Amino acid sequence: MDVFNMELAGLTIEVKSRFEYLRWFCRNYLTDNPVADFSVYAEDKRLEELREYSPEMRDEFLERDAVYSAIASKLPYHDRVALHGACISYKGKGYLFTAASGTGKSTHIGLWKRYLGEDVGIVNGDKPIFHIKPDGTIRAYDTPWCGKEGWNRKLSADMAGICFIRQGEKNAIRTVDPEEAISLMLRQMFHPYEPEATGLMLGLFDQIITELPLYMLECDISEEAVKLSFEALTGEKYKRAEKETTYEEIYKLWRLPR
Amino acid sequence: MKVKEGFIIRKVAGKYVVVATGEASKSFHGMVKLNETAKNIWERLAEGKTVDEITEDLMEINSAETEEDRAKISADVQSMIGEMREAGFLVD
Repeated sequence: MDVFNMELAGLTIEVKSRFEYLRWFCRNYLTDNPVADFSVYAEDKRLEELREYSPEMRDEFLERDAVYSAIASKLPYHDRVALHGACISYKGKGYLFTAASGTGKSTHIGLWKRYLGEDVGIVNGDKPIFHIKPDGTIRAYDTPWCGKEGWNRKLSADMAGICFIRQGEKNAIRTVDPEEAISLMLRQMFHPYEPEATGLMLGLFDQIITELPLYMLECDISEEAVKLSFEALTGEKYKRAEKETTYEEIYKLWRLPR
Repeated sequence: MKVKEGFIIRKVAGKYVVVATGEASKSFHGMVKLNETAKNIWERLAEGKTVDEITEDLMEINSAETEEDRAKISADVQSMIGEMREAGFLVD
């Protein structure tokens, strides 16, 4: 049994693991702070559920995913939620692109990085955490669980907008009202195991969709699509960065389709 | 007749939203949006109230008095129960 403390989304979390892989996986998040906000481990019941879902997966990876679920289930007690989406920062402000898997979130934020250069940072490509603060600001945090692209940087940002993505033949963007966002986004939120935590999650979800500007982008893979989402989200006029990020640079960080 | 355990109801963006937790989430993954009346019926079913009791409560909430109102409200309650039964939200 391995035990370590990690710092995640401003919390200190004690993790107990069977495999050393987990400490390695969380290596950028280890902390010496001995006082943990809560403690987690991969329960047998959760491991079995995950195994049923992915019978081929190695035990180390099952534990990694079970610990994610265990942490995500506790977050609402600390005014935080785990969700599915690609979160970036532009000039220090956070923007979330969310959609069902396979819709092209990663491709779209890859294009932001390509055309807008070093002003764009990736907070987390797959599973960021949002902290809903008492003053109403929402801070997005990176996590080691960052999807198949393997992007793993420490970067957080105050959220300034959410963009839902749909694949389309033409490029178009429109605003979304909070009521429509319920069906669009609730399934992208992590649903905790405990009823009490789920109730808290719904309250935090309500704050997210009522406080942040929301958009729906219908897009293909093009610079035009970046211009549309960029101008709607940031309120700035789109201008391609003088120094674009080359495809080779993005590809190195991120296994995007060439 | 009662709502299965594990369903959570909360007001989100002005709508009542129901999601499943624990065991209930294994058979139901989605979510249901309810209007005010549907939410009032759901909450009372969760408390284990009967169709007559719920109808009575809704009569009071809507300041309804006539037998015609009662028949209409009772039909609404029964139709909602039918939908919930079909969706597997109720236990007998």
